[in-house]
Amino acid sequence: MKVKDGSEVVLMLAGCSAWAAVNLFRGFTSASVPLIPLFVLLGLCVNSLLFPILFCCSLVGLISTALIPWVVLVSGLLACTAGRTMKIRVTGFISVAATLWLIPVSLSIPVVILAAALVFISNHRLRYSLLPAGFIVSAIFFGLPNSLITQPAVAGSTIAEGILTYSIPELNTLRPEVLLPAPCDGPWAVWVAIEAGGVRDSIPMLAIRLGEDMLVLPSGTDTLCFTMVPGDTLAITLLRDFRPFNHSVIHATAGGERL
Amino acid sequence: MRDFLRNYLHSILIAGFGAWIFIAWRLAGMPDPGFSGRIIPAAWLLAGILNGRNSHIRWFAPVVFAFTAGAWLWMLHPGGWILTAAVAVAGLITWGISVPKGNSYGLIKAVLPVLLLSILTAEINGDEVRFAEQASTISGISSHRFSERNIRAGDISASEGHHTPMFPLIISPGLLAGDRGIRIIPVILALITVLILAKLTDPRIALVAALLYPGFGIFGLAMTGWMAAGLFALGVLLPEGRKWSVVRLLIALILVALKMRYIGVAAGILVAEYACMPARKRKWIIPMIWISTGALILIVDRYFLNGIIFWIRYGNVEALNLIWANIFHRPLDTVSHAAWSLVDPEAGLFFRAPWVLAAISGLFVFRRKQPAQFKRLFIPSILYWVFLIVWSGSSWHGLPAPAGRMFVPMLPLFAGGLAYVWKEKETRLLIIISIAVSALVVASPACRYNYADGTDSILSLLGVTGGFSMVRSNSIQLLTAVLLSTAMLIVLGKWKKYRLLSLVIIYVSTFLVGIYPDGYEAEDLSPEMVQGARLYPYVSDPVERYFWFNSRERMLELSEPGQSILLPDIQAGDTLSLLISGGGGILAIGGEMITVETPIIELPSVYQSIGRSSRTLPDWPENRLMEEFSMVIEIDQIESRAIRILHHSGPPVYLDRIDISRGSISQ
Repeated sequence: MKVKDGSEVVLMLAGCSAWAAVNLFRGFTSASVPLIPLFVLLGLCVNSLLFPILFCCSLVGLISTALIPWVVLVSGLLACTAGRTMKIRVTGFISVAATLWLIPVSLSIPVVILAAALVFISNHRLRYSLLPAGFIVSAIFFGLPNSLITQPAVAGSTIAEGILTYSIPELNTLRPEVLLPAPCDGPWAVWVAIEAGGVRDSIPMLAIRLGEDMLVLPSGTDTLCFTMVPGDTLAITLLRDFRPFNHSVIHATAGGERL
Repeated sequence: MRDFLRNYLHSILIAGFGAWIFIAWRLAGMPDPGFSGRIIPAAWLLAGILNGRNSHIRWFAPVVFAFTAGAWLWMLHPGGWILTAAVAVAGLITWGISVPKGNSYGLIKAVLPVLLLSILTAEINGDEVRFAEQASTISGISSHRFSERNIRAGDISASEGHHTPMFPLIISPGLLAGDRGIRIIPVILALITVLILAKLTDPRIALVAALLYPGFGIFGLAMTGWMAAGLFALGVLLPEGRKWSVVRLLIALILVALKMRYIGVAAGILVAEYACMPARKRKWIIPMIWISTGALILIVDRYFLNGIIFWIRYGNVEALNLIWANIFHRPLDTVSHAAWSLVDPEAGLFFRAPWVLAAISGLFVFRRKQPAQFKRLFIPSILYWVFLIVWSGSSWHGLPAPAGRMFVPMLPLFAGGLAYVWKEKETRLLIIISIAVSALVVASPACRYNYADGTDSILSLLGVTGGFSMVRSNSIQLLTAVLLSTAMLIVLGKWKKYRLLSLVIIYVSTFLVGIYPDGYEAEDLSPEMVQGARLYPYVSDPVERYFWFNSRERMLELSEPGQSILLPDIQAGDTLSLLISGGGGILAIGGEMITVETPIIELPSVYQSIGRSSRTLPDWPENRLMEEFSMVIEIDQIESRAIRILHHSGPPVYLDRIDISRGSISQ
């Protein structure tokens, strides 16, 4: 989208106005602050090939507050790598830096070091190879920037004619724990069928907790039965952290009958 | 060797990116490595093979870096890996649109990688199963899963569905290749249609029509839309002349036989034919003959043949009652359906296919430059849209099949309009957003479908449970969306010197879509709040709710012990408002009992004569009036800053919405 000189300011202001409207109507959240450097970046890139991706990222950021760290960091790293001018790369770095406080410090270090290095490297071929290299080194030696979700998921449940059915989301390194609360009335016999996999060893992979009891299981298929009363919560937890070339995943189904 | 590298460097880069996607996916441990982590790299590899000596890949580097950064950061959000995959798919769609197309082969090879992804990621849907069952019955070609015919909602009887037999017959040879073969003929038909559209407009425009919504929604699927669009476009391409008029008449008949819904296009083809005829004496006799013949055929079919030829879901001549009611007895509803068909997030045209806005602005130039072709495209398309709304009423969207499929027959018109604004910068902008939508649908196949429950699957993926929807209709929201669309059309069409306004409109629209509604809709209550209660109807298929007269939203049913709703963050003095219905069931709200008995709604008299028998409303949950119940929360009703709502006894109680307004007393 080529525009006349100076028009990029209009784009920045339009984005910042939208940001202000979002905060006015949805309530202010500090997580949305990194959107401002993103809009500045967008204005600077209005005539470049980065514009389509940055533009889509800005739209996603306006729609969803939870996705802001992802879209701003991706946009920032993209600008640092593929930005042709120092102005674009510096603004990209500011976008990255403005978001880093949202992710754990230990994991943000590789990202910020890489972004800073990219700003000052003028050889574009070197810059182009540095981002994949940074990703590979980070994935193998430091791990990946981790989930911002701290709360475990809660399984949905339905009761139809005395039969209880849980719908359990997939568990992976991003969402490692799910809670299955007992219905608020009467004792229930509950079964849980588990399929765990995506790893290349047989050391313990998941834990199932009910009150004081805990069961640790390796990958594979298992079906377990429990008795639950109001107030009980069954927790299924993936014990594996991120490791490259592993896709740890647990698929679970559960149901029960009133006793 | 050096020559080979020089000539095919870009092909090698594209194929190499496919390999990088495969490796990075595993290195990052992203979910779904077995399916998405294979088919997306495979599609890039295919693109690399098909790319030839094309070197128009300036967009390539940003896509590679965005994908790499996305894979690095995917764990920041549950949707992170889907967005990362979508970046890779978006690159592939861009490749398809930008690769030069010298001939038919060039066009088809540009489509193939994305077509592969479309077919592999789209689950076989209910309509396709129905077509396959019919195809198996008609042709006698046995297919393992589809050999038996099952009755479904909307079917006339177990042996008689609501689809005409023509399309199943056409696609039946595909069954020779087994169950999945049901899509072989539709893929060929879709490719032929792309070639026709390219002939009609431009190869790049045809690719936009194929790879972006609304066409992408059913691209390669066993559904009738692409065949209808192809027939329609073919009719426009035919030269003028009496013998070609006969061919066009034949096309109109085939369209009706293909699907009754296309009667609007068929009628439009005839009207356009009449409009393009040279002026002569007693020209008016021709349409009189057409109309009389059509009416005679319908009457003979209905009253002498008992409706065996044009048998349709609600009866034949009787269906005219429905049209009459939609036009004269509820005109405002019909107008609002027409508006929602453009702006509804779940099935509306502009939300998933914003490029159509640019195409519509191009229609004005199209009309000026090629009036005859414009007439042949515009009249059938508009008649189709009007007929769709007036005939189908609130079920115009045809959900839960792939969203947007109802607009596929209008593709030739939009392609015609787009050709005249293709070089405009704003058009590119809208196409970028449309590419992102198609890419998201490939990366997250569940986004292809919606269920007319007020929650769009793409918005849900992004974490938005919007209040803006046709099902949760609000006339102010509708007016806002229509106003924004109109503003966009004006900027695109007339005020090009203020073109940056288009960006502002996009930002405002995006912001509005992302606003969270106040209160809780029953279907949006999180698992943390709801225990055991089911949504009514028990299946998400909106066909179950098509004929509800009250509201078409799903309701939460509280009917058994153990089912409860736990509302967090409650303080004494807050006012709790419930929109509920029931036939005498008792709810316990924080220990206080309330009896819920609401009356059955009265069926408007105009509806009582529609259909083959008179209709009265039975005592079903959807037919009971929703009433608001409010109470101020006392301190002794709260447990751990939450209040629990339980079904105590009696018939089920149905909940539509919960609102909490903060009170003046705070603890």
